[in-house]
Amino acid sequence: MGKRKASDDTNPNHDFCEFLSELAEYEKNVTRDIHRYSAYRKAVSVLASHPTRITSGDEARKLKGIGEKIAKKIDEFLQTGKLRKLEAIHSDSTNAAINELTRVTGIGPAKAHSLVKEGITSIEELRKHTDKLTHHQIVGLRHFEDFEKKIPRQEIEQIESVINKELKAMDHDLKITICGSYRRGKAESGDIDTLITHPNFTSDKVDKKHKNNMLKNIVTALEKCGLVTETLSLGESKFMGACKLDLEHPTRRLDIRLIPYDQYYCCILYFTGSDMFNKEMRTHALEKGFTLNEYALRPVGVTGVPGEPVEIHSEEDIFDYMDFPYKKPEERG
Amino acid sequence: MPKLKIDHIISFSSEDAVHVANNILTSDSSKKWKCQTAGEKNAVVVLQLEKASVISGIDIGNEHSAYVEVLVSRSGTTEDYKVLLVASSFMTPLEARQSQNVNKVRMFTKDHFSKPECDEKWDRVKIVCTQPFNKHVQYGLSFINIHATDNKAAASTQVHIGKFILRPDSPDRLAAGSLFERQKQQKQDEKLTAAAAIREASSSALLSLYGSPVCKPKLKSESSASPSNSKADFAVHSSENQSEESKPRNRNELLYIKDEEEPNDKIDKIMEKKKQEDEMKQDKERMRKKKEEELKRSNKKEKGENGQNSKPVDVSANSPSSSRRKESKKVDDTTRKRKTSDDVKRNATKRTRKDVIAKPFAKLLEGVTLVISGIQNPDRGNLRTLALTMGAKYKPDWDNTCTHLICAFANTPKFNQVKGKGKIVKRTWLEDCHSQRKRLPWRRYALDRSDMNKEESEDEICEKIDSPSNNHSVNISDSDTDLEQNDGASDTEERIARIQEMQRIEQKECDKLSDSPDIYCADTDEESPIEKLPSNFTENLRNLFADKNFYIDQSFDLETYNKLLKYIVAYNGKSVDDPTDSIDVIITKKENSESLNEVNSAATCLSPEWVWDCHNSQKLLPIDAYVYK
Repeated sequence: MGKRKASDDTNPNHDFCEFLSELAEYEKNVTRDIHRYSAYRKAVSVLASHPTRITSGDEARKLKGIGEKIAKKIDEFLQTGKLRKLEAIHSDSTNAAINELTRVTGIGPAKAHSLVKEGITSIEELRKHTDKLTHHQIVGLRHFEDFEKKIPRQEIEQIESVINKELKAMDHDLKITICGSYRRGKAESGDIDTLITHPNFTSDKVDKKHKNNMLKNIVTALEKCGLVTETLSLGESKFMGACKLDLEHPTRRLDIRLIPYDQYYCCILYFTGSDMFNKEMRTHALEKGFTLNEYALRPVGVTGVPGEPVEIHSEEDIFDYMDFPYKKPEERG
Repeated sequence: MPKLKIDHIISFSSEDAVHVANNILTSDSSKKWKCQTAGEKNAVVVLQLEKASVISGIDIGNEHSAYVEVLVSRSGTTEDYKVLLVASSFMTPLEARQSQNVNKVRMFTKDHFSKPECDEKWDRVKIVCTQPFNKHVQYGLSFINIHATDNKAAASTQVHIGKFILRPDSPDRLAAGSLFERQKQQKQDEKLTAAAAIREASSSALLSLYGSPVCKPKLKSESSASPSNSKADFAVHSSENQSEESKPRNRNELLYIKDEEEPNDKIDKIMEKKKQEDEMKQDKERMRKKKEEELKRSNKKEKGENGQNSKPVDVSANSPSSSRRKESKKVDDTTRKRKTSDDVKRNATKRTRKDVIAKPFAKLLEGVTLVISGIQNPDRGNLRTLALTMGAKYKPDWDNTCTHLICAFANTPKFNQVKGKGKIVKRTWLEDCHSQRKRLPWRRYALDRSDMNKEESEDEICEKIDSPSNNHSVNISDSDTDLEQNDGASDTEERIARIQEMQRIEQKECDKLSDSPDIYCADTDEESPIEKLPSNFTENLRNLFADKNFYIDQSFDLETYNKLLKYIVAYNGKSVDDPTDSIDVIITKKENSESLNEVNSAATCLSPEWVWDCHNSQKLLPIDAYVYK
């Protein structure tokens, strides 16, 4: 998932979403309080899908996912046009620095903390101290501006066709899906999440001793055609890197995952998201006596032990098993 | 693979008037079992096997169930059913709705079964069928075949050379005079007969498995009678008759531990040499250990006395007549009593010598199977290595074969799982065993205070030593010879008496254990009594947390999280994925409680202890003590 979530300024509660998102980022990066972060994210998603402008904290309270505290913050924002907590956060230079540093891919809250402790408080300063960084972080820093830019849908479509063309030439049976917000039909995305599978590649073949070079070959092929320009990390099942369509386009973050065929659809479902939709989906699965993750859907036994993965041949199958009305990717907000 | 006979049906959730549960017992596959009404949540049948066996395979014939799960248990225990075969799919939703393919058969082998459970013996099998996709059918099973591990496969590992069958080693080695040697040894060593008895028992049990009437004594005489079976490793039989005869022989062969049968002369000599080498080293340590125990036991002040007087202490272990077997514990009391303190002096050295052989360092913890909880790598790995070098076995998760839990702090999930079932000790136990090169009684390292102080029986008191003196014992180095002397305390007589008392208790323990194969490594530990659960246990289990919504802090480690989830769901609590939903209880850590409370002020933040304690006491406990302030 990209560092930046696409924010949509067409919705009537756009400004609330903005400050709540900022608070969420603060909780995630600075205080590292994942629960507060989730609470704010949840509130944002509820407000974003609310069709009308919220006019008071009490009105907001009625929505699922907004409690007393967030309602109060909305009230404060409505009355004063600002938020004391946010002001305080902004006035604290450490917070700002941490928030800034975590925008670099490969730098998480912990690394940002330690960098700030060492006195590095901005991207500019970081560029002078690349010795403290890993390869991943250095590449992230090099393309910092590019990676911050949103990728227009049309560009991903072009990249998709390049990948398809290259890989189908390699092996016609390869299945390629670009997930993430792109698949959900969003106009722009933060990065490109690509899932690849092959019918002959199943999970029972994964543990075998001999190394699997499939992903390496795929990446090499994409490098040769000039699409992939940087490698952040490359294992047997996951590639993280960057690609560039042509000289006119910025460098884009590209992830490629090689997924066993039997786990492919669960994985697509997971990586298509959104994260809130995934949560909903998993909760529903538990209610129906299943457990769902990015690998498999399994029935839960009487003692709570998950059963063997059920056979799945499409995303619809997963919905069908769980007796959940199918939602197209575009509807999974 | 022999098919296991199902003795009877213990219980079932429901049955159709025509398709009764008993139909499963019949081999006629046209007779099936179905639940009574369509749309039942699940259909359960519990089978009693003829005898406890290791299950190596299950064939299941379906009757419109979507998932079938197999759980196992033993009738003697109050423990819950363990999953042997996880819920396995027999029908897809589409098939279920259209009632196609309702009689699919799947054959499961050991590879499909859950890991530790598949190697244990079970005599109860619970089968749970579910059909969530079609609420308009009665479903169940059409048949089930349970297969036991095939011993014959192992027994028939004969080597064939053309028409000839190679006979494996003769169980008896007939070197000149070896028969007499054996007899002598048996007389002199009562332990061997105990061992033989156990072997006999187990072998005849195994034999009855094959239904082979051939018994061991007959076989022995047969083989000893034939001179051709000398030291040669095998004999070749060509006639049909003889090869037939050889079959039961081979089976028996497997049941022997060859070494037990052989005269021990050579080994003894080697051992003797090694013994002498080790003696000096080990002697000192052993003395020190004894002394320590003495020190602790007697609260009297030590007076500087002749060091030799301290040696009577060592009487505790053995009489001279017992051979160098570990089982020497069993030695008759009376022999011991007869000894004067002088006698005892002599024996002291012998005893230590024997112990050296009895428990080589690599077998110090033989019979111990341990599980580690709450300790992370690299410490975990190091502890594991320590244990393995001393001959213990390691398992990642607790099962029935485990004996000790090495635990960092109380109330870890594993701690709660093992509590009342096994010995829970601190890691220092292992470390001290290793550094002192001996197996220390576990109770003084017990993690749980209640374990430490359990039962004021005499030997417990002896072992109950508080930690300062413990540290003391660790700190003493080999060079502390003067201490050795000091310690030779005043009343030798009194001490002997005390030790003999201990000895008697120890022997009782031994006798208790003597019918288990564990005898050789039996220690003086007392099993903690298994808690009895109320008979309406399962009913209570259902509703402890009923109508409660839970949110479990996701920052728990996965194991704890899953365990919490399992317990909560098992007691009918509902787990909610989202902290902002309507929740009654949040299970979290202290450091997260504040923020979670902020996120959802309606819910109460509780520590996981509450769940464990509710489980342990089998009732819904007041939350006051568990709320984070």
